[in-house]
Formats: sequence, structure tokens, C-alpha cells
Amino acid sequence: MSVFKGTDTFKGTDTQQHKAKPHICASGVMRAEYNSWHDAKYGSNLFDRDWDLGYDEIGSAGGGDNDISDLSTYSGLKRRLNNFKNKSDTYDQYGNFGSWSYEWVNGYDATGTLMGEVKSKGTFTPTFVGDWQDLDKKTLLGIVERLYPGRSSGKLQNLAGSFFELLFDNYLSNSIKGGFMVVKNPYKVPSEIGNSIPDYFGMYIGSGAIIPNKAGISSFYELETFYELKATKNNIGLSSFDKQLQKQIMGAKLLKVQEIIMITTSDVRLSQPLRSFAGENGVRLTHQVAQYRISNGDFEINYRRVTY
Amino acid sequence: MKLLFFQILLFMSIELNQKNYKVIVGYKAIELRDENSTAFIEIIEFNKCQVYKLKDSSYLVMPVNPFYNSIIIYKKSTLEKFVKNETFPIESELSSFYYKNKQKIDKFIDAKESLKIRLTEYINQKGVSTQKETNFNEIDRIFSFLKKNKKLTTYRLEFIAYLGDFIIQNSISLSFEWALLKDKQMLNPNVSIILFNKTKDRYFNLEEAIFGKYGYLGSENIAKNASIHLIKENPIQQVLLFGK
Repeated sequence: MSVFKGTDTFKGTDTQQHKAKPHICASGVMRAEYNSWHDAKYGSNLFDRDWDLGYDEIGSAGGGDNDISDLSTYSGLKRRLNNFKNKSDTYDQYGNFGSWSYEWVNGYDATGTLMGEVKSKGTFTPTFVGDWQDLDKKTLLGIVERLYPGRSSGKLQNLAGSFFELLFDNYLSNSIKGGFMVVKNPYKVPSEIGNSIPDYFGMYIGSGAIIPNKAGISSFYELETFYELKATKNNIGLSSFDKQLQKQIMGAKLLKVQEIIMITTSDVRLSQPLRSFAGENGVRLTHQVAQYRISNGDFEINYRRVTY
Repeated sequence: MKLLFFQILLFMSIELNQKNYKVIVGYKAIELRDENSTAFIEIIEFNKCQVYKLKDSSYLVMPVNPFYNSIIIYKKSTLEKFVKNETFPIESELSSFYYKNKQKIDKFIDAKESLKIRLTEYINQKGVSTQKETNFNEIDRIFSFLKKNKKLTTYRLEFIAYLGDFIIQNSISLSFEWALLKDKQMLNPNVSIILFNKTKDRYFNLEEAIFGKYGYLGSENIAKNASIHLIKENPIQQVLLFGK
């Protein structure tokens, strides 16, 4: 038995451009890729589709009638595929624009010579690019629950925190360019009211050339920013998390750090007293919330700045 | 008498060293740099630290992470000695495990089989293992046992080897290999054990995933994270491949 594979793809133009610019670097695009995202089967519209369904849709797109007899020949199949490809509304029934890959056994070779019947199944890979959607705590927990099924609620909370941080790590891996780096911080920052541990810090780095620091002396690194990540559904104030933010603001003042960037799930607000406290201490407090979208079957992360 | 003589020598040596350098906390170092430094001298290659010359001709060595301790060194020869030996006389809780187990970790690829055997022997001896084939439940049971019996530090490397090899064997498509990650945030860089994907040129920090701030999330979750959360090294990190 001869076995050969044929593939055909329909590619759409991605009109959804990345509009959000991450605050942490001027040119980065936040993107977290999930190689196994298809396994996670996130969302009702991203399930793998089987050949039979695609076969019907191709038939429908190509002929607009119920006569699909020409699909049994290579040329008929190609004609239908081309018609399908050329139509402006070549989305699947869920609105996904995508590509079909298929194979057949004992089918037709590239010259159209009959080799047998089209039997095997194909799969639909969406190239749909969705809109950015705010990532709130409930959605985050839902995603984590799908990725790690069967976990207790306590474990899920921990996983959500860890996952939120890993998303940021992935984002950093894809977006940070030379001249600025964001580093995971494991060390305590002192302040007058106690220590705190910012999740990350950001600094400018000299790339060959030495940069002048705030004191006017040449330097290679210049500490600029603290980053604090919180996957929570609660608003954050001066006393939240055992005064963690208050401590960080005072620590930032001590270390001459200009800015603290809070990165949270989207259902969080920073209280007015907290923002005022930062201002009084000469520290800029910036709030960014997470967004997500599904693109080409991958999960992407983004962050948008919250204005108060 | 001899013992007393050596104790005096040791004391003198410590005294001498104390005169040669002084450890200061991070924010004091920033103040000192901003108020008393006259020039930026260099970046030390092995730890990416910055060296400044101070007004009194001493040297201020600041790590990349400004929250770690810095050091003031009064003689150039002392600074050169520390750089040559790639070690500064500062201890950190965060890197203490690595420096206590440096020999084993640096040669982890050679040591891992014997580490796994050691763990297997221990759990068999304690009657923990009930299944012939390794699986996620079995691995989690071993972890719980070690934790309950306060043996996590004793068998830390053994457990990393055990879980890591299981992930490598069960994630063939990801082509993981063992590697080390040198993180140059401190004067003495910390080193973690990682899984490295050469094709993607990205790593998964296995040691952190097991013993990091979120605690042990379970072997299956860790394996899942290894498949979807691969990180690129940043400018102050260095992936060290074994045998290279």
C-alpha cells in the first residue's frame, strides 16, 4: 500500500496588530507561547477538528450544494480547496480563521493520478487572532484549572500565583531587548518599617558604552524599577499583604528607585492612600493589568497600563 | 602549645583580612558610590560586579543586585586575589547550598546516577516505595516522605536527579538535557540545576520549581510547567552545559 501525504493551508492576514506597548521596555511585544496549549484545549472554539467536519465545510464552501461527488477526485478536491481558500469568509463554523492539514491514504498523487480513496482524517489549526481580553482572577483560575485538572482549590490558588509569575517570565523572555533587563529578585529590600522582597527589579545596562548614573558617575547598571506581581481579586491598599507595598515604597526611596510597577490580575485597584503614599515618598507607582488572547492556538500574555 | 600558636596565626590572619576589606549592606554601598566614588573602574567578568574607586583610594565592589551586600577592598592586590580565585569573602543564605555542595553540583551529570541510587536505597529501606515503576504519584509520595522526615536538604540533589530524569525520559519531544544556570546577581554567583532545551535555547529551572518560593507544586505540575514555561537566559545569567 502506498502512503503519501498532502497538505494545503489557508493563511489569513493578521489584522490584529499588537497595540499595547509594554511599559518595561520600549520595543518589546509581550508574548507567551504554549507549545502544549492545544492539549490544554482552552476555550470552546479551539478544539481540534476532524477531517469529516472539514470535509463537509470544504464541500459546502466549494460548491454550495450537496453534491460532493467531485471530492472523490484529486482535481475536484483541489478545486474545492481553492474555492474555500479564496472565499473571504473562510472561517470555520466557530469564526476561526485557520489552516487545514490533511493526509490521505491511497488517495491521489500530485499529478492527479488516482491512487485510491480519500480515507484519512485531517485537523484544523486555527490562525485566528482574538482580541486582548482582561485577565481577571477568576479567568486565571479557570485557565489553571484546565491546565492542571483535578487539583484542590488550595493547590489551584498556589498554582495560579506561580502560573502568573511564569507568564511574566515568559513575557520577559520574549520582550526584553538590550539596554534594559528585568531580573527575578530573591533578596530582601530594607526599609524603616521592615523588609520586603520585590518580585523583580529592572535596570538599565550599558551595552559597551558606560552610562552615567544619578550621581553623575559612570556606571554599567542603573537600578530603575521594582516589579511586584499579585494575582488577586482584592484591591490593594497600604496595609495589604502585611504592608508589603508600603515597605517597598520606603525601600525604593532608600535605594533611590524611581518607580514601582504593580502587575496584577485585571480586577484589582490600587487604593488612593497607597498611591498618595508613593507620591509623598517620591516613588512613581504604576499599575499594569494582565491581558490575554489566543493566537494561532497559542496563549499570549500582554499588560495594559491602568489610569487613575 | 602548637595549637595555641596556630590559633594565634589564624586570629592574625582574620585580623589582616578584616583590615583588607569591609562588607557593607546594599543601600549603604549606593550612598557610598554616589557620594564618595571618583571613578568607575571595571566590570568583573565572572560575576558582572561593578568596581568603583573611592576617594580614599579603596575599591567598592557592587553586585548587580543592589540589595545584596557589597564589599570595600583597601588594597588592589586583595581585589585581584579575590577576582583570580573567583570568590569574595561574603556568604549568602541564598547561595549557601550551592557552595556547600559545589563539587557535586558542578559535576552533577556524573553524580546523578549515584544520587538516584542513594535516594532509591533510602526510600526502599524506609519502605516508602510501593511501585516498581516510577510515576508522578510515586515521586510525590517520596517528596512528602522526605519533607515529613526533614530530609529534604539531605536528599535535595538526589530528588532533583530523580524527578529531572523522569521528566527528561517522559518529554522526549522537548529534548531536555541537564545543565546548570549561573546567576550573577551576587558577588559569588549562585548556581541552580536546570533542564535545558537546546533547540529552543531556553531553560526550565527545575531546582527552583521544586524548592522555590511557591513550594512544591507536585511532580506532574512541574513536568507540565517544564513543557510550557521555558525561559531565556538574561544578560547576567549563563547556561552551563555539561561536557562543553
